Amino acid sequence: MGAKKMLFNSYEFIFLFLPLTYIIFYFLSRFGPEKAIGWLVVASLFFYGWWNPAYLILIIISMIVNYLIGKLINPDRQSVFLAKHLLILGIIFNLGLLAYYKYAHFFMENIAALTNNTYDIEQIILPLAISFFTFQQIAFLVDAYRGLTKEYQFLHYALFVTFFPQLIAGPIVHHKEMLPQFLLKKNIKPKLENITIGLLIFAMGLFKKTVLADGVAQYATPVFELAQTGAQIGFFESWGGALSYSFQLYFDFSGYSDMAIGAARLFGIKIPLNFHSPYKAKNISEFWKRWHITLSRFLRDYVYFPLGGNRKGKARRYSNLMITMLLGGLWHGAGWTFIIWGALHGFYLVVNHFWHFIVRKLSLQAFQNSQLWQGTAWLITYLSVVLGWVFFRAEDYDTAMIILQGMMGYNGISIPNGIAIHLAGFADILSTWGIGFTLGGGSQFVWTYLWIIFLTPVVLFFPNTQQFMDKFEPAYNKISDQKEVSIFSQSIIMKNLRFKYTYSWAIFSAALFTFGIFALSHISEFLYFQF
Amino acid sequence: MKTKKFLIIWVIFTGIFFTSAISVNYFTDPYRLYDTYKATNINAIKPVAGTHSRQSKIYAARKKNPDVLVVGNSRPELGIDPQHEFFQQNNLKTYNMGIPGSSLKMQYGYALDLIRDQNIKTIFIGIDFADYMNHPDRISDPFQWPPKVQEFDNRKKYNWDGSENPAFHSQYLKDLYLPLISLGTLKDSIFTLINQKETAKNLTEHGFNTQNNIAHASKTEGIRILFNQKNKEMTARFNKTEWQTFTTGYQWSGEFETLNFLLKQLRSRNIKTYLFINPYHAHYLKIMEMANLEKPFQDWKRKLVDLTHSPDNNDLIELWDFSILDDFQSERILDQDRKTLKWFWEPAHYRKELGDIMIWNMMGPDEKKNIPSFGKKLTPATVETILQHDRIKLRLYSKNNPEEIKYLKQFTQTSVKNKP
Repeated sequence: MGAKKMLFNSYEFIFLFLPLTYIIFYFLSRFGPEKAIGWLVVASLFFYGWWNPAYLILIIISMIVNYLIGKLINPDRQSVFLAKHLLILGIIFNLGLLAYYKYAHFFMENIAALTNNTYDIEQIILPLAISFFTFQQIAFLVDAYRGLTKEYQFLHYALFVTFFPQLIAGPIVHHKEMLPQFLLKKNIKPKLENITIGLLIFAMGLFKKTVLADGVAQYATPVFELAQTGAQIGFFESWGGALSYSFQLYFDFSGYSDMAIGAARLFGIKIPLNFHSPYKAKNISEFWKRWHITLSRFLRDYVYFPLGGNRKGKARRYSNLMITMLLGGLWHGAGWTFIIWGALHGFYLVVNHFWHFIVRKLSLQAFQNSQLWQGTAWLITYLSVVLGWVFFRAEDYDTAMIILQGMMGYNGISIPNGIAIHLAGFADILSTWGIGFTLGGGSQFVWTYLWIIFLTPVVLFFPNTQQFMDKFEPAYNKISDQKEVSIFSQSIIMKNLRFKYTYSWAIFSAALFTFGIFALSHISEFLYFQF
Repeated sequence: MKTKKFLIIWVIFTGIFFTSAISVNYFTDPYRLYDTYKATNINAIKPVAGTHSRQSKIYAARKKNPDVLVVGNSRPELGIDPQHEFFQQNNLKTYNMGIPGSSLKMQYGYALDLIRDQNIKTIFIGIDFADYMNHPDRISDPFQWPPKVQEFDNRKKYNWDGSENPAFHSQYLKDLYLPLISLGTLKDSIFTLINQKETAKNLTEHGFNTQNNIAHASKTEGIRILFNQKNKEMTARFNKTEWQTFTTGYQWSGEFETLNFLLKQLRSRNIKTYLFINPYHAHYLKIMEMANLEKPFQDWKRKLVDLTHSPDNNDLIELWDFSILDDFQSERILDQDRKTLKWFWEPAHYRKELGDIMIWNMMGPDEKKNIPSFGKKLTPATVETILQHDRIKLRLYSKNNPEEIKYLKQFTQTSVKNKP
C-alpha cells in the first residue's frame, strides 16, 4: 500500500479491484439499491485510501462539510443573505484546503525569494485528486445557492464525489449529470451490453495509455531530463522531444478518459466526455472545447462568466480570458511553468478572439474558409499547443527555454553520425547546408520520428473512441464535429469507421486488450494524477 | 451478431493472443531466464539478454552451480571469457556474473549470496577505481553495517548477515514470470528471432557478453567515433567534482567496507580469490591523470594492498593490477580507420583477447603457449616500485604520443570549465 496509487493501468486494479467491486455491487443490488450504492462508496474510498489511508479523513470531512452547507444553503429555506454567506464560507473552506495543500509551499517560497528571507516550511504532500473534488464540490455549492440542486441523501452525494472512475483525474462531473443516474433502478441490474461496451472502451483506453503514451514517452522524457541538466539540445532532438511529449500527453489523457468511461459503464453509469480529439482543432478556442472539457466548462461557468464574460466590452473580455486561463494554469500545478502555460493559452485565446473580430470587420470570411487558411489555422493551433506543452512539461523555466532555443535552431541543426554514414554523398550536401553530425548511432533519433510519423495520422484522421462507439452512446453527452473548426472531420474514415458486433472487431479489440495488458509490466502514472 | 456471441468470441481471441504471446516469450527466452531449448538460427543468439542481466544473472549463476565465478561490472562481463582454455582444460564450470552499471553492493552482494550455498572454489573479482570514487559532499558513515536494503537486494536468497531473505521468493516469481506477460519481452523476442546473425551481440549461457555489435560498429563507423564518445563521457565524469578515495573525514569508505566484508567471507570459506584491477586504454588513464586523479588512484591501490594482505591471508587472495600502462593499452587511435583495436573495444572496455592473457597470467602461464607477460601482482613489497614505474610510463606515453595527448586535451578543456 503506502504511497502507491491504485492506477487503472495496474494488475491490482484490473484483476482484483474492478472485478471484485463489480461482482459485489451486483450481488448487493439484490438486497436493494442503497446497499449497492453504499458498497460503491466504500469501494471508491478504498480505491482512494490505497494511496494514503490518512488522507481518507480529508476527503470524508470535505464531503461532510460540503454536503451540510449544500443542504443549508438552499435560498428557498434561508434568507438570501444567509445563503450567500454560507456559500462564501463553503468556497473559502474548499479553496482554503486547496490553498494549504497545493499552493502554500509555492507561495511561501516566492515570498521568501522576494523578501530575501528564508521560511522553514515543510513540503506538504498534495492529497490525491484534491483539485478535482474541490472544484466538483464548489460547483455543487454554487448550484445549491442558485436553487439548482435537489435534496440528495448523503450516500448519493458521497458517491457523486468519490465514484472511483472519475475520482482521481476527472472528469469534473456535475451533480445533475451523475446523481440522477445513481438513482435509476435499471442501472442496478447487470446488463450484457454495458459489460461489453464498458470492457471494450476500457481496453481501448488501456492500449492508448500503456502502449502508445508510455511507448512514445521513452522519446520525450530523456530530452526534457537532458535539458534539465543544462545541456544544449539540438534542433531535431528538441522538436522530437516536444512532439513526442505532445503525443504522450494526448494518449495518456485520452487513454485515462476512455478507461474512466469504460469502468463507469460497467456499472451502468455514463460519465461526461472529457477529451475529444483536441489536436483536430483549427483554433485554440475549439482546442479548449476538446481538451479537458469538464475543466474548461467549470472555468467558463464558475470563473469566466461570473467575472463578466464577454458582456462588458472587449477589454474586459480579454482580461477575463487571461484571468481564467491563468487560474487554469495554476490549477494544474503550483509552479511558474504552469502559470506561464496558462498565460500563453490566455494570450492565444485573446489573439483568437481578436482575429475573429478582424475577420468580421474586414469581411475576410472567404479567405478564412479557403483550404489554404484552414490548413494554416490548424498548423498554427497545433504548434501553439506544442509550444505550450514545453512549459507544461519542463521542470522549470530554464529547462523550457533550453528546449525552445533548441527548437528555434539556436544550438545548431545536426543528425547522428550513425545515420550520416548511411547517407553516403548526401551527408556532404547536408554538411554544406550547415547540418552537422553528432555522436551516436541514431536509433533514438529514428525511433522518435517513427513514433511521431505513426501517431500523427492516428490523432488526425481517425475517429476517437466515442465516435467509434457512438451507436452505443458511451458517454453522458455527445460532441459533433464541425468542419469549420475541426480538421478532417468529414473524411470517409471519420464518417464510416464504426464499431460493430463483428468477428473482425472482436479480434481487433481482443488484440488491443492483450497488448494493453502486456504493456502493464512497465507501470507508469497517468500524467493528470499529479494535478 | 448478438452481444453475447461477440463477447464470447472476444474472450476466446483474448485467450488465444495471451497464450500465443506467452509461448513466444517462453520459447524464445530473449533474456535467458528459462533456459529453454536453443535452436541455431532461431533463438541461440540472445542479442538483448545483456539489458536484463541484473534480473537474470544471479538466478542463472545459481542454476549453473559453477566452480569458478567472475564478479564485477561490464568490464569483466565483456573481457573475461568463462569458456577460457584454462577453465576447460581443468574442467572448471565457470560463470561470468559481471553486471553492467551495477553498484558494488549489487556486485558483491550477489557474489556473497552465491558463495553461501554454492560450491564455488575460485572467484575472480574485477575492480574499478570509478566504482570507489567518493563525492566530497558525501557524509554517510562508511562503517554503517549492514548496508541499507535496496530493491535489488530482494533477489538475494540471504541478507547480508546470512539470515534468509523473506522477499526472495516473491521477487524470484516476479522476475521469472512477469516477463512472460510483457510487451517489452514480446518485442525483444521478435528482435531475437530476426537477429540471429554474427554481428549481433550475445549474452552466452555462461554469462559472457560477446559485444559483436561493437565490432560491427567499429568497422562501419570507425573506432574513433567510439573513442570520441567514451572519452567525452569519461572526461565529464572525472571532472565533475574533486573525487576522493575515502569518505570525507575518514580513511575508509562504504565501498571498502563492502569489499572487506566480502573478502572476509571468502577467506572464511577458503575460496581462492583473484582480485584484479581492470585494464584501461591509455586514453582512459591519461584522462584520469588530467583530472588530477592519479594520486587518489594510487592511494586506492595501496589501500587494496592493505586489505588483501591481512595477517590471516594465507595466499588465498591475490591482488593483480592490469591498469599499469603497457603496450597492450597503448594502441594508437588517431591513425585507426574502420576496424577494431586488437585489445580494446573502447577506452574503458577490454576485449576477450586481452582477458585471455590476463587469465593465463593470473593462473600461471602455460609455458607451451608463449603467453606474453601482462599485469603485476601487487603486494606490500612490490606496490611502491610498481606504482613509481607506472608514473614514469604515463609520462613517457605523453612524450611519445603528443598527437594523442593533444586530441585528449580537447575534451578536458570543455569539461574543466564546469568543475566546481
